[in-house]
Amino acid sequence: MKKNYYYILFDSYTQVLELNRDLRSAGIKAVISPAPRAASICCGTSLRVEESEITKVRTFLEENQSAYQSIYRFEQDFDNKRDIYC
Amino acid sequence: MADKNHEMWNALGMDLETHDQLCAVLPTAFGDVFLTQDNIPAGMDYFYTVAGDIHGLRPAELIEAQKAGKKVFGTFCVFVPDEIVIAADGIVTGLCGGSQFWVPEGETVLPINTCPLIKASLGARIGKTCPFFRIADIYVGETTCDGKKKAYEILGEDVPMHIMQLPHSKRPKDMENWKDEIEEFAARVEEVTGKKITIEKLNEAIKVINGKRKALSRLYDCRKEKCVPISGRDVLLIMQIAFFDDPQRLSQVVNELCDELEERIRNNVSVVNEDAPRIMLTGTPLAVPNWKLHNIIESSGAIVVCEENCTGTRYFTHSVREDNKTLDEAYAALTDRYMTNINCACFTPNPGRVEDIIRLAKEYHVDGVIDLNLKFCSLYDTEGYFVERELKKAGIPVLGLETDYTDNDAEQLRTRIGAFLEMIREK
Repeated sequence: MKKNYYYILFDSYTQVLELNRDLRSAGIKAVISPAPRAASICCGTSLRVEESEITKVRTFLEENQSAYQSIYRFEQDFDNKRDIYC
Repeated sequence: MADKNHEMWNALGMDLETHDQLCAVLPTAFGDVFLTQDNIPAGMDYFYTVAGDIHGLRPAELIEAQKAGKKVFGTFCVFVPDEIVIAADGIVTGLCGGSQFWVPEGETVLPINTCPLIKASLGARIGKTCPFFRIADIYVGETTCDGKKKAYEILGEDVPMHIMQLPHSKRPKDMENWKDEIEEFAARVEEVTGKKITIEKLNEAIKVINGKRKALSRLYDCRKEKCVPISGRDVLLIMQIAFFDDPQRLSQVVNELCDELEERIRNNVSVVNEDAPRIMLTGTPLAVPNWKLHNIIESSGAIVVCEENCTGTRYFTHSVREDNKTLDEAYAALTDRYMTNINCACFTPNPGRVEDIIRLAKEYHVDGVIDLNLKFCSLYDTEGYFVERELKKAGIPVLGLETDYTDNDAEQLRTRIGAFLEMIREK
């Protein structure tokens, strides 16, 4: 079933690691993921956030003036039995 | 990050439009295989970051290093001694191809009945769709199998190559021959880098690579217990990254991850239930981004706890003797470590591999072994006769599988693996 996922894009990989670490310390769930092709001209690493966490994430970003580039929303599904590899 | 990548790839002369097709499928495939997992260790952050920008991050570092005068050596086999390149201030990057994306291009110059790893490797170069293949100043091939031997002749028309003639037995005269090959390789590395290899620099390089081996060995040790703190998928990704990442940084992040995993073991935090079948994979290597088998096995309710292959234990087994007094002594130490302990099916006879498999099956308390071979690899496929026979004698359930990089056989593999796991559960 498709769900909304939010991808936070960055200017550098150290920003990805720092924000993920900070969100984890604050008890906010996110995972590091390749950025979807549609969100980015080329490959890049992003932080993926589920719908249930995005409000907390946006608040955190604002309160902490965290460094990031942009946020994109996509409707997607992930399935470890889809068996389409790259 | 994204704009800089595009500029870099353009400057490397890559086919951007075709490469873009690979970029398009990676996020979903990665999401399916890795991000559907529960309880991912925090220490995987670094590796997911690298994987997420796999054609950006490390290639950019390699290019910066080249601007500073360093030379990049592309390699295809765990027999190539990285220590020699590092002793001459060079950088090593693994080049094996693990994606079906590159295979069709490889088939324009190679027979269809060549293993997909070789076809993908040539395809990545010929198709100009991998930055690592564009960046390396020289490739180092080795005469492990017939497929590679002849493929390197074709590759050598497009990129400078050095071929190491690997003996196919381990007699004393073969050990001497390999030592000569290492010395010849050292001379070539000096020529390419313009740097002299001294005993001090070589001893230092040996310690760096031994440090990486010890870190990876420590990671594998974390999988031996009932409580399994990390999935096989995650370990596979770490091993694949180990082939091209900076060795000192890799050692550091792996050791930090191991601190977390050992804490998980102490607190009995496992990524699977205790009754999940414990599986060891043996056979041909799983180059990045070949995640198919691990994903099928683990999404079928089992856990992969060990890999006896070149992207597993063969990569880090045993250290090289350190603190050698002369270059000759160091070359002998390298010969000893590489020839004695890596039991590839290219050797004949190869009893050491079966001994390794049975020993590892006991060390890792496996419930079953999957002997996994890439299609058209006659070496590993034929050796499977001995592997499977001896495992059956030892009372260890074994399943022999052959596959390639396509998705076509995934359903069949799921059915066969599912039946194997069911059989294990009922024992």
